[in-house]
Amino acid sequence: MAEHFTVAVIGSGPGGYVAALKAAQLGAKTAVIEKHLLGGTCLNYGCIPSKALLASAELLHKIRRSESLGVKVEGTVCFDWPAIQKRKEKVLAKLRGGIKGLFAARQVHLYEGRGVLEGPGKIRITDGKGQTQQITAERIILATGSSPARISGWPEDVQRVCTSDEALHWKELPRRLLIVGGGVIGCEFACMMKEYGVDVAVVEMMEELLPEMEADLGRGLHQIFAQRGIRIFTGTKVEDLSLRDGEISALLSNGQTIEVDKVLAATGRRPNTKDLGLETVGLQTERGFVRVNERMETQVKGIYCIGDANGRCLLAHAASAQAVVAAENALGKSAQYSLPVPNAVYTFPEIASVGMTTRQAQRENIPVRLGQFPIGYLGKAMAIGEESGFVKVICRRDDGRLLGVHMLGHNATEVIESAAAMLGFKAKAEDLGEMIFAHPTIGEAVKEAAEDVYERALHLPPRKVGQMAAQIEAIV
Amino acid sequence: MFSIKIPQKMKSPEAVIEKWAVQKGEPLKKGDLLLVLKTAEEFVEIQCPEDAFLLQISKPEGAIVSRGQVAAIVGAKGESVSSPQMFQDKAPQPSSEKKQEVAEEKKPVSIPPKEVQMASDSKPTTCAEKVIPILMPQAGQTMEEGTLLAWKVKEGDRIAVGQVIFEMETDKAVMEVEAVDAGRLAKIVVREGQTVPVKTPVAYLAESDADVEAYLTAHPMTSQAAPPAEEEQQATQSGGYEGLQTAPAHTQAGRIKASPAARKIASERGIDLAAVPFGSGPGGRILSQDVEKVQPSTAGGIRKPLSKMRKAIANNLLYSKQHIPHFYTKLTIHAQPLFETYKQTKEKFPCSVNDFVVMACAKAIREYPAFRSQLRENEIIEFADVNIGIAVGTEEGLTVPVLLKADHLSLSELAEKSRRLAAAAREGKLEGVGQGIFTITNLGMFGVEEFSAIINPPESAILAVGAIREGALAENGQLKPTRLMTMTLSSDHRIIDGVLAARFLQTLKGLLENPRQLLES
Repeated sequence: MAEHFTVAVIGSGPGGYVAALKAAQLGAKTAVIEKHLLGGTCLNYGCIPSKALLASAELLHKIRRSESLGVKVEGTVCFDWPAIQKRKEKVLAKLRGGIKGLFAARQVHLYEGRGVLEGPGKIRITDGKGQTQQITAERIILATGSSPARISGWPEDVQRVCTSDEALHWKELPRRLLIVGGGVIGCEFACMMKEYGVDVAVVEMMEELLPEMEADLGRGLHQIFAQRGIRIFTGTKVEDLSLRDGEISALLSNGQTIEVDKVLAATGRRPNTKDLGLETVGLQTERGFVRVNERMETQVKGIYCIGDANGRCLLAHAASAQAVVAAENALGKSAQYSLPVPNAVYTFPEIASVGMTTRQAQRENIPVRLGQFPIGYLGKAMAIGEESGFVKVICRRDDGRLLGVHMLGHNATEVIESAAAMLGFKAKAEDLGEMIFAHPTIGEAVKEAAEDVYERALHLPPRKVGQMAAQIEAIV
Repeated sequence: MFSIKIPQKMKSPEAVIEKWAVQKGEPLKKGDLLLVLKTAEEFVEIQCPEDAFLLQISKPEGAIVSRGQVAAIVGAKGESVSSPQMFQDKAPQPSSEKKQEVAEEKKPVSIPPKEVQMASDSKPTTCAEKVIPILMPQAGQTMEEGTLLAWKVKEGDRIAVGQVIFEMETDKAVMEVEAVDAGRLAKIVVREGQTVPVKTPVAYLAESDADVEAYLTAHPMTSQAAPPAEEEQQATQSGGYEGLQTAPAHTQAGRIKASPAARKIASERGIDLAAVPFGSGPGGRILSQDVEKVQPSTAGGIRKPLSKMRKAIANNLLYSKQHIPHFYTKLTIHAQPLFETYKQTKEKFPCSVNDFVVMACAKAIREYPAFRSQLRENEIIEFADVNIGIAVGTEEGLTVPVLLKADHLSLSELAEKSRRLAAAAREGKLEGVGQGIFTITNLGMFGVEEFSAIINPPESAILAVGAIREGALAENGQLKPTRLMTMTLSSDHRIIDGVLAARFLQTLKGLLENPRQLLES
């Protein structure tokens, strides 16, 4: 007799495990099915391992310029790559244990195996030994995530032409690395690898790094990277990759050829929705994504889809937010996923943003006002020697409501939360500017930038007024 | 024609257009200030490179522009910007007051922020700070004007903050108005008994009468020209490039101080913050607890923006009910023959009862010119063509496609055309819009027995048709089962009198009770 659950969740990433905990918290008999490792991409192949590796890299970075803060390190500064990897593994194991503990505490039933839909309300689970069993559930939440996209036509040597899945677990570091794609993953790897002494080149097809984010952020990071000796090719494509005994030669669209030891393809991710039995319940996909509404409902009643697999926003915290919405709706509540989702890039300095970019506002023809404040003007920034970056605030021109806040600077990913909260509460730039921020903090730049929207920032001199003749050109 | 572009040598790659200093159709001189850009570091005043005529503003205030982007089109006077896809002009038309300010500020000089700020109230600086207008307050969001009942002070009096200075009456209440500024009441401009729009100056505070005179000369008295209210002044006093700017839009509407949580709750519950009577936070700021005390008008309801169509329906019908004196005449006909003829005809080609009604109306309207007439100002215009509108309910709302020259159509033509029109209307395609002279609305298919309709302006009448239903007819003291149909005619009493409406209905009755003749005629 198949065991019956109120809610079954396929996948235990930041979407799936949160959905299961929420469902259990609401009193439902809940199952989670995980085919690989608890915690999904985030915990095992994404957010957490990259942050662990970046933490060691950032410490190296600090030690290397410790003299600027008057600290002398005698002898050579070096790092132990296997030890760094080992520490990372320890962190991951501890977090996986944490999820397991939470499941046990809430009586979430964990099935280790591959879950495939087998008609409405039915899931076939096949474990590592090939043993199968069926469970039934009234509500099913799909949280199967995504995998890094591999570029078709490129050498299929995963040791040398890798994705983040492999790169986070490299046993040894390459001497020269080509990163294809200057998005979040590409930039984080570039920042980290450079510190570990790897000769890094980044190739980005669009005209600036982090093309999805506010353009100034990518431009700012580009300068910082360039100073550190990272080679950056923007507006450039990799035309061809060829493998030659231990070396990879990449032909770029600008005609240059670069020789590297490894290539990291960081060009996007694809949803894990194949071989999931979607057809057995009549679920269709669009470019692989399972489409859902604001309530996370698919076209099929009783089936929800959250996280990367629905393609709305490929971020762990978006998946977790959607998870709560899906679990609540599955259990008779009425919830919607509608709040702004912050974006975080863990380079050093960090980058974070929430809400609309100026480009999006332009595309939607929303008249705006802008405010900006340089981090370097802050007392805290000077005191801790982290002076690069800025905060930019965008609001509606008509009623002053915040549209977006974008930041490059020390601790940006923590600081952005204050802006995200204000945006979530539909505040105006004026409201943000009126809040009291602790002094000295980096966050003060958010307040000042909000004040600068109406030229009210006190720690900025009034803007100079420059003059310039317009260009004139005959229209033919 | 020439395009005016954002200079390539601008330091920042992007900027926001903070202000346009000129407007479409204006002659420009080389060196004139065109627009002001705001970047992270500076304001950039962009000057006109040549003498020309401003034909089009391509990027409005608040738009993000980058180097080399087209901001405007200039050319010779009268030249027209031909290719619309080139640069859509979405710029809001600057108001005339702004133009005046621009004229004062035309010299593109580097202005220190302090000076800029004073000019922001668009007062001549000589007396800007000496004259304070007292405004007709806006007590509640819906208040548009107020009547000054009685002055409690007189010209020459010194008044203190909080002192009652006049009494006013709104459409809802009589209230006392207290002074928000102290000073000498130099001039009263609104007399007792006068009604003026909110935010209109009713008096001026100034030490010298000459200052008031100078102020009034520089400031023709209009409600828009009225200097911003207390809070708005705060907004403009923050410096920056506001020399060319009226108060920021968000303060023009009169900013209501409220916490973000209060705003969120208010927007969720559909409560207008202006309707919250009391703010318990610092400085009267509205807090969430204050919003929670207010009974929402649409508690728990879902708020949706009005679609264009809904808006049009709302405006049209409201206009009709408010401006057309409707009266209603109702008549029930013996519909047995009509029902039978309809059944027989339907065997031959697809048709509906309504097609018979349309046909009968077309014939009757031919006979009665008042039903194809419209009242426009002091004239009655009679139309020759019997163009009949058929009300069609669609997902989005009511539409009225029009059957042109319905009196020239046979029943089969009429049936075919009205089916096509209704189908097209359901897809959002309307035919004959604005050409109708009479409308027929039929809810018979839903079993509605009778109803009264609102005239579709500028038409003069509408016929509401009910279902053909089973009933009894008394004939020679005997009850006989038969079928009945009730029609209600709504008419514009300005051009149609009761007798005329009754005759029209009688004619319709005659036609519909003898459907064979109707078809043959």
